Amino acid sequence: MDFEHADNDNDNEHNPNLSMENSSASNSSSGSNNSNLTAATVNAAAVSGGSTAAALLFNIEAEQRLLTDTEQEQQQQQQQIEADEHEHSPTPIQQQLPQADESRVEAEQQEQAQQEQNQDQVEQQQQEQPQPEIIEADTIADTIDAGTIDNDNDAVVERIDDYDDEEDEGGDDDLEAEEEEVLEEEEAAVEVDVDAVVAAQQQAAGTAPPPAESAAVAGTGTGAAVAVASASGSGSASGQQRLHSVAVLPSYSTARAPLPPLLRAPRSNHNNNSSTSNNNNNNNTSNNNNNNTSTSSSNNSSSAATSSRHTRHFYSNNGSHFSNEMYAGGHKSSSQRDGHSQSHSSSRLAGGSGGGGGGSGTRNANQSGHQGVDPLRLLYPNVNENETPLPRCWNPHDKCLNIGLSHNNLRVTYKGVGKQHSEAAGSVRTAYPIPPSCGLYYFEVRIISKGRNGYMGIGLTAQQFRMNRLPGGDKQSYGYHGYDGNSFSSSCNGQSYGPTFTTGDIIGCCVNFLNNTCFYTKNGFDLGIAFRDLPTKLYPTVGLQTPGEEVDANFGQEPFKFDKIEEMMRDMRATILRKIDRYPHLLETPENLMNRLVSTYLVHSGYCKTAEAFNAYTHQPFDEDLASIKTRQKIIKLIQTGKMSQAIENTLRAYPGLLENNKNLWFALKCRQFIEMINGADIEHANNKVTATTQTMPTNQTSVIQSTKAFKHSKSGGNISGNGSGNGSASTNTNTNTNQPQNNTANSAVIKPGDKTDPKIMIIDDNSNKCPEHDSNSMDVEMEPCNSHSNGDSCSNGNASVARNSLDAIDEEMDVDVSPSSRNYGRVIEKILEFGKELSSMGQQLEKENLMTEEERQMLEDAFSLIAYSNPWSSPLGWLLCPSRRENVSTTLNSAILESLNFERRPPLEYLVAHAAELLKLIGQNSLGEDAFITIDDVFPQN
Amino acid sequence: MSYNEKSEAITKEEWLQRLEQFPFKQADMNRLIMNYLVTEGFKEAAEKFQHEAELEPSVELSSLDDRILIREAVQAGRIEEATHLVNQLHPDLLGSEFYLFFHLQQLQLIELIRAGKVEEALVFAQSKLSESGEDIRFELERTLALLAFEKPQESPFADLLEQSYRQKIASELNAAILRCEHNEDSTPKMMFLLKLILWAQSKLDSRSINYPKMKDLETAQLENK
Repeated sequence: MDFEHADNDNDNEHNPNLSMENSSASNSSSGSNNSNLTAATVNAAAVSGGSTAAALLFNIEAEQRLLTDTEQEQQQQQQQIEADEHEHSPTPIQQQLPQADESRVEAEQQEQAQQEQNQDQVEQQQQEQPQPEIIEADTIADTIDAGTIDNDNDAVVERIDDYDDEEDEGGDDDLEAEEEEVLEEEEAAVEVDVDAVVAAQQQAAGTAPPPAESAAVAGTGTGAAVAVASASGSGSASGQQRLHSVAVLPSYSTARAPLPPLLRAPRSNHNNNSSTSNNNNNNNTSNNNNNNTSTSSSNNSSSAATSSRHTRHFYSNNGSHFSNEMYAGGHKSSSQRDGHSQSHSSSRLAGGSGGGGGGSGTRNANQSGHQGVDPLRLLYPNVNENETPLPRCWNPHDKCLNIGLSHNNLRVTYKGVGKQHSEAAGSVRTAYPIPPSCGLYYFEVRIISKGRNGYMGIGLTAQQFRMNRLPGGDKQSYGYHGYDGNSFSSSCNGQSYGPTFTTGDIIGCCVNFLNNTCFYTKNGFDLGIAFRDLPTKLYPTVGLQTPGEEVDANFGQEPFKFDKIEEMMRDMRATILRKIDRYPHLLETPENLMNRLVSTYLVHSGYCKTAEAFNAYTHQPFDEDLASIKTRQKIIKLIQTGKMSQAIENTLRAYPGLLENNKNLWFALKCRQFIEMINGADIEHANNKVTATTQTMPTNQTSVIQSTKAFKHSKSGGNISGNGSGNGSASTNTNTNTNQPQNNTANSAVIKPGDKTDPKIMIIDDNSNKCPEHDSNSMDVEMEPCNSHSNGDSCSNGNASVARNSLDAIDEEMDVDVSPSSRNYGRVIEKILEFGKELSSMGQQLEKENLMTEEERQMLEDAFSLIAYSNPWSSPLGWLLCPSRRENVSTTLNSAILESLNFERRPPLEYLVAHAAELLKLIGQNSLGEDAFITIDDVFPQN
Repeated sequence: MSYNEKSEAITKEEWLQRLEQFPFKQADMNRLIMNYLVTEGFKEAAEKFQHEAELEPSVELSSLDDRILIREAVQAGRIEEATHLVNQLHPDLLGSEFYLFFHLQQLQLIELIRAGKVEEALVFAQSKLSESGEDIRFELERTLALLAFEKPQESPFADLLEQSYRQKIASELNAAILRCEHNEDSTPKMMFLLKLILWAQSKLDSRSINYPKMKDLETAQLENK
């Protein structure tokens, strides 16, 4: 049992809770006046705190330290708590979770992709009642660093991880009580002034241990964010949570920035739970009320929260890949976790102090996540642990009874009676054999104590080995024994091999899969080859025989005493590369062959001019006539620039019958067309203006940047990427893309310490940035006919959603900036919707004919889902809009065209590459070992 | 002993399916092509490709000029000109790459034979190619054997007269120049790909592991079994 469990349980517990609140949120959303009032109050408070806001920001750093502390505390607590949790009946809150939700959730868990989840969350955000919410402490900073310093009237309430016994038993804490509590906390937090905060932090830092409560409040006045850690008060009010951290994050309309990291965060079911159930509760209630954006942003911070938590999950999972049942104490994973949380907090620091938002912040977070890469992965990069896991600790289920394990199953202690005959021996080995794709595998054993006689054996065993022997002393086992220094190769007669070893020595064992040999090291010195002709499926094994004997293993988690492994691996790689390079290829004229491969590739891919030049020079014939290549090239180009309607038109004209006979392909093309329409890339002339308007956003922004040096200063690269994503052109498949421009500006303004922001500029800036969001809001409205909001409504909607004090000014701006385009935009929306209907009827047609594949269903669903987002580029499905996704479509169509012309679907060169890759895989599967050092990527130039 | 027993029998169909599903990145493939064009000195094609595939070449394309001139000279059979250019560009190159130098001279000899200048060819062979090692003597004999035939194009040694032989030497020379200039990879990555396939296939063959072998690399056809 370890932390994953703990976390899971906590998630399970608080998610229903969250969903309950959501349902209550949706209940009261009809009378949203009420909530608006609350919002206004809080906002006012935030504004009053606005002047001090920038100064408060300096405290983020201190607070983060605090958060780290509390995180660790939480983890430790979880460890204690988890046991209880397993036994306890669910809390009342859980029981309140509607059953329907659960079942649906379960169904959806399986088929829903990550993006879905995110979408759900966004939907949830849009529906959520403006209600103060509590956010788990360790996520606050993540939120901040991911660029979501959210203004917030409406805070997200999320119960903290730690539900302990008291709570379970006194579980009648109902939601209202909780809300009140939260309100209190919020007020307290918002009203705290700088000094108080600092004091509170100090206090908190001093008294960090369990019953501490930290509240982080990010407030906005004129765009300043406040992060407050309050170590006092409200914790006692709740009284039920031992460790209670509160974040009230006033949103600054920066809603969606943190979503990209979610793309990466591995999904886990409970999270799905929360989102889907929320979705259930709130779906289609479509309350595009004035608080829309602000709510969503606050809520979003919760999604960022979850995402970050999951990221952590992921890495610790990675670190202790299959440790769940292995690590008894959980010590190891806890240290790994600490490592992770530290890296997170450091990223927070970077994010919080360095401009916080935007792409840069997100990127930081992700990169820092990557820093937690586990050393074994680095050591054995080509091992696919899904297929062949690496040995990471001793297996408690595969040992002799007289062997005891401790220290995360890394320490082996002899517990038997230790009679002097062989029956007293006992061995333990790892849960998994060494994957041959390691190429070279190494582990070390440190002798903690030689015990009475030091009868210890270190080595390798095959599956059939019986664990009541020392390795080497029986069939299918190999060992190096401490008392005589002999090596034993599947026999009880040892060969003289090396020195003896005893307390304090470090013995290493290295398996070379290229030549199937094994050598040992003692205290970092190579002892030479001990065994040859080893079989492949071998488990690292140690055996002990007399009382007191105790050894520790290092499978690579720690640096080895023998430090030449990596060097040896580099040498082996170089040797193999050389071997391949010098391989007598028996090709008479490889130049001709390669010229041919290049030529066919160029023709196939439609690089017409290159092919012409190349073929002329190398005297090669064209198989396909130039005109045909050019036609294909044109279509490919159209797809690659997103002009799908023209591409389809051209295909229909140039290759009659092709699409008509391949409905699935046609459908795929149309799906892409729909996506490109949303992308703004596939809009016909009449609508070009709109695209233009959208594209002027960055220009506006630039002018703002120029007018305020402070902005310019604090805006880093993230902003640029934001611009690009706004245009839908610069989004990349990786998570880091697509931060809304407004996020960046807002945040940069927020984060800039001592920034005296001219409110006027802020407004203009924000407003101009607001446009895409507003646009897509109107899209949203249009999509749902039952929704009474007209375009104009949603316009003001988008406006008001920017929760700020000077709404009038915005309206003016909106009039100037946006209104002229909104009519055109309406037309675009109409077009998109019209096309959407066409697409969906085509989908139904395919369903009827039973032609629809699961993949296509997903494709359609994803494409339609994009509409749900006010800013599709930064939505979890934003990757769909990424130009790199066009490649698949163009390749598929190209292949289909070529096939219809009786050419190969793929150029020979591609087959060669794939063939080589498969051959390498096959080498790996057959344990030849070379695949550890060569991958198909070695074929491609590095550039 | 097999680690993964299920890998035993792979049918051609399964294999083909795997190949189809290989996650290609066009950008990778394009870099492979660009690497070839640049390394082999196809400047015009490289320029066009740079434009069409929206790709940056790994080296300045203008640096290709000298190599292109030399390659063109070799491919057009103007060996003396090529030798001269190489000596201008890298005076030590031909001195240190003796085998390459022999190949250039051999080409020159072949050109003389091609032109029917028998006496000149004999004189050239005796004066310039006399002091050579074992390997070279064999190649020289093959070359001179061309003289024995009335129509060398129809002789068993006709391969020497083909354009591809010039291309082979041109590539050799090109690689030598690249080595001398950059000390980096002088052979195109595609060559590594080909060798990787051949090496891997022989490796698997030597363990008698069954798989659909690719014999004809040009068409990438799999062996029928």
